[in-house]
Amino acid sequence: MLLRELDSNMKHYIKVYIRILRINFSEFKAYRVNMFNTFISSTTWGIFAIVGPLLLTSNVTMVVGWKREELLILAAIQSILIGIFDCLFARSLSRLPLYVERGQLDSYLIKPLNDQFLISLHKINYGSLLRSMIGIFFLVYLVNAYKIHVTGLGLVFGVITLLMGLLSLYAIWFISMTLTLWFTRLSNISDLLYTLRGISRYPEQIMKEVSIYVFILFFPLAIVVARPTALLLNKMDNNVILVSFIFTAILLYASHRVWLFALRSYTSASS
Amino acid sequence: MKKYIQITKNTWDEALIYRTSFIFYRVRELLKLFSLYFLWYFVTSQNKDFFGYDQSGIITYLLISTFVGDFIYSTRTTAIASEINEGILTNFLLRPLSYLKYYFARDLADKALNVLFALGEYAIFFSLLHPPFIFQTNPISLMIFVASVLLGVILYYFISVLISLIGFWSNEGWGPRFIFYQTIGFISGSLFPLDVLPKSVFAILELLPFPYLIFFQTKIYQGQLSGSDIGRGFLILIIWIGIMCGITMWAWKKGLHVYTAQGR
Repeated sequence: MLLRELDSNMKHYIKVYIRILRINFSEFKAYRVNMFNTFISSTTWGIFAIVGPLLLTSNVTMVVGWKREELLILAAIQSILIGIFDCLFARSLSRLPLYVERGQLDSYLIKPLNDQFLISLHKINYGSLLRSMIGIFFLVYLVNAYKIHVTGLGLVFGVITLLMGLLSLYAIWFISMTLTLWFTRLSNISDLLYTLRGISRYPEQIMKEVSIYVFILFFPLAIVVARPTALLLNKMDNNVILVSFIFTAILLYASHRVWLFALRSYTSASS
Repeated sequence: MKKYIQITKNTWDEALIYRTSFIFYRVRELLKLFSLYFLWYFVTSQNKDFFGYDQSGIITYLLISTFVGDFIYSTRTTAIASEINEGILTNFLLRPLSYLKYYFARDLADKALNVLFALGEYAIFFSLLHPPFIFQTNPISLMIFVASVLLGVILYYFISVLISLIGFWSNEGWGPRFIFYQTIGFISGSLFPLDVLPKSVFAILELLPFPYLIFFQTKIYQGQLSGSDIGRGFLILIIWIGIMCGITMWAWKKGLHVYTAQGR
């Protein structure tokens, strides 16, 4: 009975999410100039994200144990991850401070749906997928150009840890945006998060070299992209998958608990 | 003149009232500095010669270009486009002040605040990390460096205003503006020294205004330009200021002809 209920709930949420995707796609098509602008910005981000590491590694063969082509693959995978994250979550989460400030959060809280689900997924930015596509194209090019041997298992583990990295990044982002429920003036916290997110393009070994405290502080961001890349390139032991899974699960649970705790402070002022 | 001084003071006060946003912005800039520094530090640790730059040379370039960038790139003029689109510009056109001078006064306050905070951040940065930084001790070089930065401020002001004036012709011009800002950041030398690029590419870039925002100033600080190079650079910089000023004033007048005060 419980399983049937869970199954029916899941189907319901899937239907709702498909509807959200369709509405956002219609909106995306309707505002053509905005669509064009989004494509431009995604392409620009995608290109600069790759040109930077290309230039940086043009005169080096290895940095902290990572070869040049491996660093470029790291940049490509970061582009893929960021493109997907921006598509699915960034736009929705960046609106949370605005909803809190204007008391518009009420309209999401009173709906007969999980509010974290709704807040996190109601806005989709299709244009960002272009950045992911540039990343995929560059990744395929690098694998062929440098004749990198990618095993089937490495690919599967890489994709799994990339998904876990995506969920970890979401949880970190969501927890940070939830702070605006207490501190309404932190409206530009998302700008800070974009900068922090940039740290994920560097190998985690760089942070370890700097200081163990820096590594611990930025650990979640350090592993979001670096671990999937390392697994794809067989640079890491496969048992890190279990560690990543546990870590992601903890972060997701924490995001849910923090959200519920923060809602107690929401006063719906000026709604 | 008094009204513009008052505008500068008001902008300063306004920034300090919304302290949290400003502090977050500075924390973000500090994080960017740290991450760039560590990346270049490790790249140059492995490879002692990066296109003719040793580790201290590249770190000095990075730190100075970031500091100069903090000064030159901090601007309020990005709000011009939305003020045009929302019709808020009308309020300023009715007032006895020049809209462009108004924004220049606001920019001065913004830059002063950013530099003040940047100095504090750099003090923290240096005390924590003791980076391999080369201090310029020649007073003449320092004076020329300051002069070049001030001219860079004026040049960037006109470039930024010109980009924002797209608002007269388009409500949704943020895409081209975004790509323009990203490109300027890349070809001004704020991310890497431009002379690592192929000579032919560098020769073309030298004729454009963008290297004279960050790259030229940083090279003066590092004492890596000869007297004739500095003279030529200043000449190109002043010419570009004149060109950008002319284009901006022309675009401003053309824009006012088509301005419909939509939203008011």
